[in-house]
Parts: sequence; structure tokens; C-alpha cells
Amino acid sequence: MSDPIGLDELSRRQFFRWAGIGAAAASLAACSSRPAREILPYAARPPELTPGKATFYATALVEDGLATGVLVETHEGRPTKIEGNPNHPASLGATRAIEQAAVMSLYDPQRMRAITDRGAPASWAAIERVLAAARANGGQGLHLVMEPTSSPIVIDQIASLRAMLPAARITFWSPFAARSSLVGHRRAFGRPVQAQLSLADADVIVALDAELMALPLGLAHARRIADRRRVVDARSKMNRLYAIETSYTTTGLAADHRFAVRPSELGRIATELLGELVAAGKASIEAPHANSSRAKWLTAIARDLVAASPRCAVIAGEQQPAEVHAVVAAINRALGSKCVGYTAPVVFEAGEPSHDLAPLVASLVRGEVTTLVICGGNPAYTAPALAKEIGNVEHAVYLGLYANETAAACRYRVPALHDLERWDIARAADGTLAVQQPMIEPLFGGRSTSELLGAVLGEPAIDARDRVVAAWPKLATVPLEQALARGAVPATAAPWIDVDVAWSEIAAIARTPVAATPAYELEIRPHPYLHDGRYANNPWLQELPDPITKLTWDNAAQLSSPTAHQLGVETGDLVTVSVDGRSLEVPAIVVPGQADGTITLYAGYGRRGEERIANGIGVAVMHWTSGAAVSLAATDRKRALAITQQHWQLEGRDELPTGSLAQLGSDAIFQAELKQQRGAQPTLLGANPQIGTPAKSQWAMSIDLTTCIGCSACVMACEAENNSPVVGRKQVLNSREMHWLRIDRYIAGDEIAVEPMTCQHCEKAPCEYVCPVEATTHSPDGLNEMTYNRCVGTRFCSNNCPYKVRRFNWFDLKQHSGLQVLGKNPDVTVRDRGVMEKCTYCVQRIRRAEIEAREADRDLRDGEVRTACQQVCPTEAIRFGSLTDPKSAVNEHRTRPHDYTVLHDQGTVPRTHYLARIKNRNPELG
Amino acid sequence: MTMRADDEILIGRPSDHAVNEQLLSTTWRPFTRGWKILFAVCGALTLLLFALIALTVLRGIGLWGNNIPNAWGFGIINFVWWIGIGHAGTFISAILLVLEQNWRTSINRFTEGMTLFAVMQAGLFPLLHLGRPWFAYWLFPYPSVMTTWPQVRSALPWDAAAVSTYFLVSLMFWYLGLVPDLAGLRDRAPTRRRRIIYGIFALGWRGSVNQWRHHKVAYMLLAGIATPLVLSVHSIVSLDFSITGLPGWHSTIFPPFFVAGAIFSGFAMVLTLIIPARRWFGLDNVITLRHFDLMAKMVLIMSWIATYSYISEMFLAWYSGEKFDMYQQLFYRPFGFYAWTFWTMIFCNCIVTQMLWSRRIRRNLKALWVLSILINLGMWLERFEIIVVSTSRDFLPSSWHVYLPTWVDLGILAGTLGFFGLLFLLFLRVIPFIPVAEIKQMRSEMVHEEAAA
Amino acid sequence: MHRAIGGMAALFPPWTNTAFRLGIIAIAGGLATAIVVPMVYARSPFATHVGQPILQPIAFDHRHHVKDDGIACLYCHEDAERGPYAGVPDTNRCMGCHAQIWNDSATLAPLRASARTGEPIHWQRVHSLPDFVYFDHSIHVTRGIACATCHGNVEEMAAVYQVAPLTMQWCVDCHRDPDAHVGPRNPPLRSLTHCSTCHR
Repeated sequence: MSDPIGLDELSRRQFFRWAGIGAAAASLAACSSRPAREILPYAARPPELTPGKATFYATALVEDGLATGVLVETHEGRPTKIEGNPNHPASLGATRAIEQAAVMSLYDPQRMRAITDRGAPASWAAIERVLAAARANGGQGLHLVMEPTSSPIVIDQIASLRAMLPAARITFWSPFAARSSLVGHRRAFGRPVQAQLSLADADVIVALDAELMALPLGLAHARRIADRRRVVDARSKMNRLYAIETSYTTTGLAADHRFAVRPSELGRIATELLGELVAAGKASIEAPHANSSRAKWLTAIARDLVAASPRCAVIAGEQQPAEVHAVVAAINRALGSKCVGYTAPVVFEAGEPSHDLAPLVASLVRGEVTTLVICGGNPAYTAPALAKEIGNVEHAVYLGLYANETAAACRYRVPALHDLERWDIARAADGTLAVQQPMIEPLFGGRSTSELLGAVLGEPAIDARDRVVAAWPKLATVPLEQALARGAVPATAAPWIDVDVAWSEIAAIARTPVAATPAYELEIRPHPYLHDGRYANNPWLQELPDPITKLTWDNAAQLSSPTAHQLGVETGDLVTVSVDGRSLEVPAIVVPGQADGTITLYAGYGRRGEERIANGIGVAVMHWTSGAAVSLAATDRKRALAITQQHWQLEGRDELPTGSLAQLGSDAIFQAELKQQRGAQPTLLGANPQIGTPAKSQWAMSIDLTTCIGCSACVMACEAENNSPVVGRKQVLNSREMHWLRIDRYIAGDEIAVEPMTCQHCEKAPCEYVCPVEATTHSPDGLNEMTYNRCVGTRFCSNNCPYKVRRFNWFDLKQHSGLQVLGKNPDVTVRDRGVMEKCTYCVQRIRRAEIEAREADRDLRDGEVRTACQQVCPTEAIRFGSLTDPKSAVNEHRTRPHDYTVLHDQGTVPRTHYLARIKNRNPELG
Repeated sequence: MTMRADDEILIGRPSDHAVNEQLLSTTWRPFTRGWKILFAVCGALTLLLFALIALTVLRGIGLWGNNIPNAWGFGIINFVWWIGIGHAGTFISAILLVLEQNWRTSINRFTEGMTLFAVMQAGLFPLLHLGRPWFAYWLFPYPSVMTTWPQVRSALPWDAAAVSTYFLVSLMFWYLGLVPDLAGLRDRAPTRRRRIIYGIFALGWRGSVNQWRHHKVAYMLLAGIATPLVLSVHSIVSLDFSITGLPGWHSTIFPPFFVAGAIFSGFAMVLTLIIPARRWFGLDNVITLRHFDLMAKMVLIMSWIATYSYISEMFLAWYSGEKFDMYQQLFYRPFGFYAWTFWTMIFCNCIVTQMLWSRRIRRNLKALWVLSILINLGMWLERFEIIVVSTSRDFLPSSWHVYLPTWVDLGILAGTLGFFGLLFLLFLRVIPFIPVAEIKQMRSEMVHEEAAA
Repeated sequence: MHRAIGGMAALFPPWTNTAFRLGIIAIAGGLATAIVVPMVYARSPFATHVGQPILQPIAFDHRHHVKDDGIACLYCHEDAERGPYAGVPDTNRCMGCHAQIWNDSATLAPLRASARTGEPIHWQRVHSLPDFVYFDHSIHVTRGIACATCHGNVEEMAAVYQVAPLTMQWCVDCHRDPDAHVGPRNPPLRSLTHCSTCHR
């Protein structure tokens, strides 16, 4: 690996000079000969590698100690794209947007690059000396802060550390990691067990403030729920999902019934739900009945649960207090739910005192800590209580990816390894083992947690791979190579254990009187993409529109419109938010479906580290907690919000039909609407003289809006696969974002509905005939091709595109140099300034598959070509294939009664169809 | 028959010598202070224009306010507006010539000059608004090593062809008419240097009967060629919009609507320019109130055609029952975010013009001048309605977004005005902008008629 | 009128007529060349680089290796039938033979240096396509298109040079009617001329 610092700095500074010289050279060369260009073959090439062809390796990305298995696409040793690993229980072949963006953070040029001591370059030996000193008298005054972990290697090291340095203290900290659920379960069951869900056979699911994408194994849960919601026709059986939450989440989007409630109500609702079950004879304790305002729906839900039991589940989000989790656990037991089980915690000592921050803060305040070792995380930002204390510690060592707030507070900084650079072992939330293997040589040196712990223990340096090899025999019978190839070790999931509810405890909770609800309540959520701010320096995630608000590059206070009306504010007005004396100014954003009298703010913004992208975007709210009473005051100032979709209403345009299963069966009007929305069916290009003889494959897509939950993983996957540039807040404000795939969201009836929108590959494409230079044309296999190098940029095509899915390079948006260039997909042209671009149905994947099939003299198999958005989709809502194959999955979608096309009346004959959003309404609730 | 003096198109019957003195001398009279100030202002704006063009080419049209969905903005508005202005010139000099309207004589060169300079402004934009202007030549059919050709189904290659043809024909037509007067200048200009320069451009014109005969034929032929161009060019321009399916663009009425609008704005611009010019150069005897009266009538007619088009667009939107068109035409334009532009347009193009029913107004130059300015504004806004307002809200509300110009947009618009003015001021000083030879001819014809009468 | 003529005669002596005509011709001719010359240039070797031998860091002679030793193209350019790039063999491939034979020749010093240090040899590119063109060797080779069809008789070249212009026209000519250029194949070659065949 050449010195990346040199490379990066040089190219940033000198690009223009080089460009100039290059141009000159070219023009000179043109007179006599060609511009000189070199080929550098390997001296000794790796056997498994064919230049120009991608190789996939299995590894895992870890968040708060829990692994998500992924397959990493690498080109000549450069990771370029993340795919989900079908063998891994936490992925099932899908990922979230966050995993998709991991490549971007791997190549982030702002990662910490060198070991420093008070900012001056230092050596690893210096760090070892500091830690050696800390070993004196049993590690007195030595304190470690670690991220929650499930790595057997690290766990072993911790054990030996405790044995060797009994006086040393270890605290595990991550703001949104599983904590209150385990504490709650300790109360309910007497031991901190971890809930495990198997939603495959759940007929009724109630989510109490539980965002699917934020749950452990969230991807798997989303898949299991969706599998039960694939409507073939009106006779299909669906599960029923209730969402009870304060602000709209992806769960709310997926739900059949959604109820917006204040944070303070949720606890009460849990106990009342228990009360209803008691009434139904499912349990026998004192529990309150539903209060009148919500009696109607709460009793209906209870009846639905009882009817479905044991095939039902009640889920509570990690944001909820321990009591709620205790009650929910009791409810599931009362219902005898076989969809909710319990295992010993997968994360090391989860729910134990070592996961509590208070003792550490106390001893910091007392000045007992002489050496503080922080392995990863960013406590100075995520735990404000800690922030001011760290600075007073004499020897503070920080191991992290970025020079963030914590690094700033610590004397010694050690660059950490990115997940894609290291060896380790991690468990999925269900306990399944997976091995992390490096995809690339560490870009900036960098150390792993094990290495740092090794230094604390004074171990001799051990090669990271050897650690894994050494640890392996104790963990699994499967050979390591096999585990590496699969990416997960089967049958290593933690076994479910029997638990008994301590009803007295539950009764005690149920008895606690209702606290008075304040006028305005605060809700703090982890950001759907930035999480607790650890991903805030990733421009892809910063620019990815929020699933509901479509806000990018900013943090805004989400308000319901009645609340906004009370305050006399509208979207974009700055409001002063104050909680016990501390106040912030935030722009308001009005969101339908937000509980009245509440405001929701995301964590992860207002970073103050040295990361140039994260720094200064939005406000930091980590010192606040959900449920706090908050006072709001309007100001006369405004802040423009970079929202990618400003309109909520469909303005009477029936481009997003929604209905219930019952309506699909019996409602003639709805059926007629669907039939009419279907529009003209594909001609398979038979009669198109422009194109000539149609090809064997006729590509088409179908998107099931019943299972789409708007999580936006597809948008990120598309950006990663197709080298889409980031444009920044200012350009987003002028509607110049470059996402080929956007997720439209509208108010449909009493709910929010989403509709992924991208190039529809119309058979009669309006964009094609208006292009003066035929830069956009139709292929014999039904693709609407965009030839960037032919485009002169009249933008006529965009004007004539009814779907407005084309994107234009208003400026030179491509990176000419720097590390990120390494992450580009070499199979997709990086677009130049002044050319139009759009979704290509991932034509590079189609052509690659065709070539491989033809070289093997066989036909393409259905499902052999998968678009990036299809491959990443957690709920498998997207299907892609050829219409000429009668048995193809995409054709099957088209036989369903709720298949329709958008803007059918424009005569475009789109190749992308949709399955209408169908709900499984509870008859009692209409 | 005799007319009232103010109905004459030439007051008095000046001698050849008098005509020469009055009209040729405009080229060697000393510069007035007002002219110099105007010239300085236009010069400054021209510099601004070229600076902004350079900036745009270097950094990209992201400097403009355009976005998705508003992929076209000021660039195309200005293009359509300027090209439209040009049309009046060709209309007056070619069509009226073919129709033997001799009142055109005194103003035709003036308007042709205007056409030329307006088309030059217009010509900038198709090039400038491209994402990659350096590949503009791909719009023309030529045998390339890529074996690729322009797309004949698109309006834009035709547009490129139409505009360049239009420019060339206008240039030749204008120059041909100019030759005899250049000869005149060659023979009368005060200094030898001027006489040589004029002499070169006079192409050795002697005014022999033979030359006159050829001149007449060629002039008529070019008029014949130019006549259909008046209709074809702006029809093709209108196709840039009407071949699409966009609500507000997708309309079969566009070609005639655009041609009328073009002539409308063109006559307005003629008035804007000629009223002060007449005053400064004291040409009351050659450009008479009758000229203004006739032009004002043309304006009134065109105003009504425009009004009719507006009404029919709205009516058809309602009559078709097409939800997208109805939203655009009946709700968004009159009551949406850009409503004020719509109503200003209606006021300028349909309402104030009704004053022209009154003969007094038609012959009140101050009133006419103010009116002409309003019409220029109104016609610019009409293009704004069509281009920006239509694109900013089309089919799917998810993609709706407003368009707001940047300082670069405004600068370029102002710059073209300056550049146009600059060229026009030069024109006024270096070339006799009233066709001397034709005036003499017209005079002698009139004298003969009167003698006969 | 008479005075006018006199005046003009004084201004312009007779030779100006000729000068004037020549001027007109010059302008017309200039315009013509301005259009024609670039078209000619684009097709000329100056632009296409056809027939310009490229010097390499090691004076590798295909004539010797292919004609004399009878080594097949794919022995060294093995990726041509596996992947998009034909590629240049890695140092080890060369050392396979040259560890034994000519292992002390001065010419091969750079090769041995590369084998020693692991630093690649900086070969000079002969055939280069724009980055927006996705040409795939393997599909052409497996369809039975001979290397020489595009690369010419490399075994006759001391230093390799380009024989085909590699213009889009040249690609498309063959893609329009493959049989006419490379003869019929079984299974028959498809005529692929849509844009995404090469541009993605």
C-alpha cells in the first residue's frame, strides 16, 4: 500500500497542475504520437484474481457489539460495494443503508491517521509505556471504557485482564445499545435475559415504539413480517401489525394500524394492555383498564392478540424504560406467545452493572482515575456527563476512527481499524458466530481493540489472524476456512431458555400512579442513518433523505401540525426548545402523524470533532432524554431545510392507490381504480421500428408497496453501485440531489404511504425522441439507455420525463483524486459535468451476466440478474427479471389483481410496475 | 387624391441632395453626450455578459437557478424572447415588401438591424445553456467517426438549423439593401479613410441601370426566402415545447401562437427603439405619425391573437378534462406561487394594449413608448409562464420545486440587453439606418403620382 | 453619377478588383477547410495512432516469442479468455522461462529487478480505449474472434503498434454485420449495436 497520506494530499493540492500538464502533453503528443499511458501488471499476481472481475469476500460489520454479515465486492483488492450475506441471520442477504455506506467511511480521508501525544506524533511504544505504567499496583486508577462487545477474543482478554489487574475497572458504553430491555427483563424474570423474536409465525404483532430497522436483527424481523404480507389476491392471509409510537417510523409505515401517542403514555398503554388481557382471563393480577380516550382501539388490539395467541408478539423499543419492557415481557408470557423467546444476553455482561456509566462518572469526579483507556465509541459526545471529566485525566488514551470530541479530550490518540480492515469474531443478536476478515491492508496503520487490550495486559504483539485461529477451536467445530467462506457458522445461535414471570414485580409496576403529562414532551431517537453520530462524517448518509421527513443535512424538531399551529410556526421556522434550563434553537418541521404536544429530535447531530463533514451540522441533543417536559417558543428567524420532497399531498392524482384486503376482495370502486391504473401492458417491443428485433430477455421491475417500508437502503445501494455523487446541502436546497432512486411519500387517507420512484424504462419513453443527439435510446431488451459520453446536456429529456427521475450534473461533481476514488465501481462510468444520468436497471450487472451466460453457452436464469436496489431490499419488495420468461418472478407479480403502473394515462407503457399498498385492517377499527 | 399631412408617410418632397444631407450625415455628425453615456452603459453590460459567459463555461450551468424539475430557465426564456423580437424586422422588411406596403420603406433597415442584433443575442443561448457546449456541433449532421447522427425526431437540431439559417438570410437581406447607400457614403463621407472602408463594403456599386435591375431581383428573391422564415423559425422554436407531453407545453396551438407573439414583441421593440431615434436624429419628416399609427394597429392585432391563445389554452385545459392540464392552466398559473407573473403578463399583453383602439393614443409617441416597454416585459413573462411555471409543477407532486434565478441569470439577461444596445448604437452611427436610395425612389414615385393626379 | 465614378477611381486603382476577388475566394476556402480538415484529422493516424510502434522498458520482441518459439497469445495474455482485459503477464510468468534461459542477459535486467523487488514493470500501453467504453475481451475470444482480427499480425512486429483505428465507426462496422468481417460462427454471432453494449 503506497503512502495514502502522500497520495491524498498531493493529489488534492496538485490536481489542477497535473490536469494542465496532462492536457498540454496530450495536445503535444497528438501532433506526433499518443499520450503516454502505462500498464502495470502484478509482479506476482494473486491466483484467485482476474483483473476487471469482481471478487466477493464474506465478513461482518459490527455495531454495538452485534454483527451483520455482509459480502464485500472487491476489485483488484479494493472494496467497492457491500452486499448482504444470505447465510447470516442478521442479514438474510439484505443490509440497512448504514452498511451500504461502510465503503465510504472506509475511504474517508478524514480518518485518524497517526498515533499522537498531545497532538505531536508518537509511537506505539509510547502508548505501551503508558499502559505498562497503569499496570502498577493491580491496575489501581486504570479504567477502560469499551463499546459493548460479543467478540470471544475480547471477552477472553477482559477475563484475563480482570484476573491480572483486579483493581482496574471496565465500563461498556453505547448510548442506544440494549440496556433497559435487559434491566426490565431482570425485573420480570429475575435475570437479565435478551428477547428473541421469531415473527415468521406471528399473526398479530404490536410494536410499542419499536422501529424495525433499529431493533437487533431488525433486517430479519422486517423480512419475516414482510413474508407474511405478500398479497397474491384477496384470499391471501396477512399478519396484522399495530404500531404505537410518538413519531412516524418505518414500523409505522409498514403497520396496518398506527396510533400516535405521547412518550409518557406508552408505559401506561403497556400496563393497560396487560389489564385488558387480565380482563380476558389471560393473567390474574391488578392491572388498570384502558382509559376512555384509547379504550376503543386498545381493547380491539387486546382482543386481536388474544384471538391470535400464541401466534402473536408484543415488541417494545429500546428507548422505552425498563418497566415497559418488564410489562411487555409479562404480556407475551400471559399470551403464551411462541414468537417471543428469551436467551442469555449475546452482548458480554449486557444488563450488568458494568454497562452503567454512573460509577465511572463518580470515580472521575473523585479524581480516582489516573489512566483512562477508551476503546472506540465517542463518549465525550454521547455521554455529556463524561465529557468534561475526561479532560482532567492525566493519561487518557483514545482508540477510534476519527479525531472526534473524545479524541480532543484525550492526551493520546490511536487510530483504530475500520471493520473492513480487521480480523475479529463477532456474534449476531441471536448468538450466531461470524468471522471478520480484512478486505484491504489498513489504510492508515490503525490498531484493533484486541491489540490495545493486549498492550494493557503487556502481551507480546500477536498477529490479528493468529488470535482468531487460536480462539476458533473453543468456539465451533466448523473449520475456520468454511466459516470464512460462509460468513456465518450455522447452529451457533443461543438456545432459548425458560423464564417465569415474577408477577408481584409486574403488579407493582402496574400499580404505579400515572405521572401528570406536561404540555409538551420531548422524544429523542437515534438517527435512522447516523445512529448516535458515529456515522455523521459519512456524506452518503448525511445526504440520504429521512424516510418520513425527507430532510437531509440537518436536524429539525418534528411537530404535528396542530402543535405547530398552537406555536404559530411552520416548517423552517426556528423554535427555541428548552428542557430544564438548557435551551437550543432548532428549525421546526411539520410532520403528519406526529403525536400532538410532542417534539422529536434525532441524536447524532451537532458534532464538534475535527471531522469536517459532521462538524456543525444540526444541534446536539444527547444531554436530553425522551419523555422530558419541554417548553417551546417560536422565534422570528428561519432556516432553509434541505428537504428533497416538499409536497405531502397527492393533489387528487391517483398515482398511489391504497386499500385494505377486504376492499381488494369486495370493493368494486377500488377494484375498478386498480384496473384503470394498470394502463397499457408491455408490447415487448414487437412493433417498434426504432429498435429492430426484440432481444431474448425483456427486462422489467415490480415493486410491492405492501411490503416496502421506506427504509431507504435501496437508495443508498443505488448510490454505492452507480457512483452517484454527493452534492451537499446547498444543492439539495435547489433540488439538485443526484439519487437515481427516490422514495416518494404522500399522505394517503389517514396514513403515510411510500412509493419508490426511479426510471420506469418506458417502452414509449418520452425522453428518447426529444434528445437531439440520441444520447438516450431504447435497447432491444427494453432498457431505456443513457449514454453519458454522447450527452450534450440540453436537458430536454428531463423536461419530457413525466416521472422526473433524471438527474443532471450541474457542476463537475466527480472526485478527481483522493481516497474515495478507490471505492468507485469500475463497471460504471463516472459522469462528467454537464451530462444527464438516471437509473439504468443496473445495466452493468445485466451485461456482465449476459456475457457469463453466453460464454457458458446457456440462457440467463430468472433471478440471475439482480439490481442493487433489489439485492439490498430487507423485505424483498423489489422483483426484477425478464417478461419473456413466463415463470419469472416479475411476471408472477403482474398476474396479481393489485398490479398497477404510475401515470399509465401518459401512454409511456412503463416497464416498472407496482403492487398497490394493501392493509390488513382490523374490522373492529375499520 | 390628397391626404392630411399627418397621414403622409413622407412629409415634404425633399431633393436628393437634401435627403443625402439629412440621412447620410447621421454617420459623420459629432457624437452627442447622451449617445456617449448610453454607449458606456451598454459597453459595461456587454463586458458583464461576456464575463458571465466565461464563468458559466468554466464552472457549469449550476451557476444558474435551473434544477430538476426546472431544467430550462432564463436561458431558454431569453432565447425565445430575443428570437421573437427579431421577427418583426423580417416581417416588416420582407412580408410588407412582398405585399407592396410602401410605408415599410422608411423603417425597414432600422428593423432589419434590430432583427440581426436580436438574433445574435438569441443565438448565444442554445449554445450557452448546453451542459457541454463544446459538443454543440453534434447537433449538426456530419459524417463522424462515431457513425452517429442527430435525432431528427427532436425539435432541437431543427431549431439549430432554423436559427442559423434565419441569421444568415437576415444578414444577406440587410446587407444587400445596404449596398447602394454604402456607395453613397463612399462618395460623400468626409474623410478618405471612411470612404475607403465604405468603398470596400459597397462592392463597387455604381448605380448603373443594370446593377439596379439585378439588385431588385436579388432583393425580391431574398424577400421571398425570408418570408416563410418568419413563419417557420418561430414555429420550430415552439416545437421545442409542444412536442413534449408536459402540461402547459403539450399544445397544438403553439406554432401560430408563437409566431404572433414574436411579431407582437418585435413591433413593440421597434417602437421602443425608433421613437427615441426619430427624436434624436430629427426624422419627423421620414418617420411620420402614420408609420406609428400603422405599427400600433399591428400591435393591437397581435395582442388580440395572443389573448385568444391564452383563452384557448385555458379553455382546452378545462374542455379536455385532463387533470394535469387543468391544474396547470386553471389553478397553478393564475393562483399559484408565480401568480403575479401571470397577471402582470395579462395586464401587459391583453389589457393595456386595448388603449390602441384610440387614434389619439396610436399617435401619442410618449404613450406608445411606455406601452411598448410594457409589452416587451409582458412577452418576456409569457415565456416565463410557459417555461418555468409549467415545469415547476408537472405530474408527480413529489418532484415539484420552484425555480428562482441567480445573480448570474439576471446578469446574463441584463448583459444581452446591453450587448444588443451596444450593437444598435454602433449601427445608428456607422450606417444610414434609413434607406436613402429607397426614400429617394419613393419620393420620385410619389412626385410622379401627384403630377399624374 | 459621373462624379461618383471619378471619386471611386481615385479611391480604388484597378488591381483592387483582383485583390477583392482573391479575398472572397480566400474567405470561402477558409470556411471550407475549417470544416473539412478536422474530419480528415480525426481519421488520420495522428488521431488514431495507427501504425506507431511503441518502445517498451524491455525490448520485448513478439516475432521471436510467437514465430520462433511458437508461444500462443493466450499463454501470456491468459485473461483474454477469462475477463474483460487481455492484460500483460505478471513478472512471474516471464520468469517461468527466463529464470532458466537468458537469465543473465542485460536486456532482461529490469525483469529480474521486478521479480526481486516485486515492483511492477512499467509497460507502455499500445491499445487504449476511452474510459466510457466497456470492451470485454473474453466474450470476443470465446466467440472465436481471432486476436489478429483487431491486433493484426503481432508476430511480425518488432515493437507492437496499433493496426486498427479503434474508432467507434470501426467497432460498429463489425458489430453491424459480424459475419461479413469475421466469417459465420456457430452459434451465430449476434449483431449488437445498442448503446449499452459498450457504454454503461
